[in-house]
Amino acid sequence: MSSRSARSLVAFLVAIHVTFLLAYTLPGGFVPQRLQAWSTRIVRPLFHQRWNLFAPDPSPCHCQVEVGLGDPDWRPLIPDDRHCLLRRMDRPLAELIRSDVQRGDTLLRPILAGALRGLARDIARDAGPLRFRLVQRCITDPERPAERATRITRLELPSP
Amino acid sequence: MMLPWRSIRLLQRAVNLWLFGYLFSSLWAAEWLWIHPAVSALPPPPGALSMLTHVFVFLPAEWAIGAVILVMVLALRSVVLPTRSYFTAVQWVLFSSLVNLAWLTSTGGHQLIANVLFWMIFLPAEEPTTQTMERVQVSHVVYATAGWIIRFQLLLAYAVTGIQKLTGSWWLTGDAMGIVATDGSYGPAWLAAVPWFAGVVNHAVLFFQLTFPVAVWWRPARHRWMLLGLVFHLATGIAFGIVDMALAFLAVYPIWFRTGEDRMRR
Repeated sequence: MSSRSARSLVAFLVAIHVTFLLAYTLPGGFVPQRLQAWSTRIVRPLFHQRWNLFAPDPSPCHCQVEVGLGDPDWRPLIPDDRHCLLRRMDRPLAELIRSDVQRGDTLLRPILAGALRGLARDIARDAGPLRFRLVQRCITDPERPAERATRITRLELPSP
Repeated sequence: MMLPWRSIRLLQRAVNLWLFGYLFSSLWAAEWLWIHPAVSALPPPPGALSMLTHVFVFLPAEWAIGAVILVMVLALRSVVLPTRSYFTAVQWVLFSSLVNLAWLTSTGGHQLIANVLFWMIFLPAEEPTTQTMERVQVSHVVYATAGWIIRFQLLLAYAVTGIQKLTGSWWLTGDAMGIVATDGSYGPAWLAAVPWFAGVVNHAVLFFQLTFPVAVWWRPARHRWMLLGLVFHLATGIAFGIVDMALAFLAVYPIWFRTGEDRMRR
C-alpha cells in the first residue's frame, strides 16, 4: 500500500466515524432525519455519548426526591453522608422523574420506581412502607436565579 | 499520519490510571453499586452489538464487583507494562457495561473514557521500530485511524457541548452560570451574588468550549488552551462534585501532545 493511499484510507475512516458521531450528538434540527436514524442505529450500541450537560439551557429547577416516614418527617432520598457517587444519583433520577411529572405522569415508570425503592432500601428496612415526593425549587426570573419557588409533587409507585 | 509514540504511551497510562482511580474510589460504595446494585441496569438498545456494552443485563449484577476488580488489575498492569490490545478489549467490554449498570452515576467523562478505550484496542503496545515504519502496513492504517479518532473524539465533545449551548437562550444572555450556581446540586452559590462575574464566567465557558477544537491545531495556542482546560475542568470538577469527569477529560489530553510528530512525518 502506498503512503498516499494509506493516508486517504485513514482520512476516509476517521471522517465516516466522526460524521456518525456528529449526527448522533448534535441537536436534532442540525442533522437530516435519515442520517440521524442511521447514526442512532450505529452509534447507540457501542459508542453512546451525550454532550448536553447544562445545554441547551441549564435546568430552571433544582430537583430532589424526598422520602416520607411519618407525616411531617420527610428526608432526602440519599442523605448527605453517603458516598459522593451515590449522592450523584439523586439529581439525574429527580430530573427523569420531573420530566415524567411534567408530562402529567405521577405514576412512575418501573425502572424509576425500582431505583427509588433500591436507594431507600435501608430506610424501608427500619421504617416500613415509604412515600416519595418530588421537590422542585424553580427560578422565577433568570436574572435573579437565587429567588426560587418551591413546588412539591407526591409520587405514585407501581406495585413491585 | 502516524501519531507520536510518546503521546500514545502517555494516553494509555493516563486512561488506565483514571480507570484504576475511579474504580478504586467506587469501592467505598460497592455495596450499593456493584455487590447489590440499588438501581437496575439500563435496558440495552436494539441490536446484537449492544450485548457487548450491557453484559450485566445478561449476567447477574452481583458479578459486577468481579468485573471492577479485573478492570482495576488490568489498568494497573497497563500503567507499568505495555498495554496489550486483548486486555484493553476486556476492559472496554467490562467498563462500558459497568457504566451502563451504574448509569445514574455516569457522566460525560465516563462516556468519553469508554469510547477512548474502544479505540485504544487498536493502538500498538510497543513503539513501532524504524524498520517497520519504513513501509506502510495495514497495522499502521489501523494505528493511525484509532489515534486520529481519539483526537477527534475529544474535539467533538467540546464542540458539540458548545453548539448545544448556542441553541438555548440563557447561555447567550449570560444568565446560565448564575442559574447553575444557585442550583442546590451544583454551586458555588456566591457566584450569582456577583452577576457581572457570573456573566464573564458564562461567556468564558462558551468561548473555551467552542474554540478548543480549533486552537489545538497550533502549537502556542494548544499549550494555552490545554492550560485553560486544566483550570476549567478542575474548577467545575470541584465545584460540581464531578472530579472524575474532570480528570477523564484531562486523561485524554496527551493524545494531542504533538512533540515528535515531525519526525513521524519524515
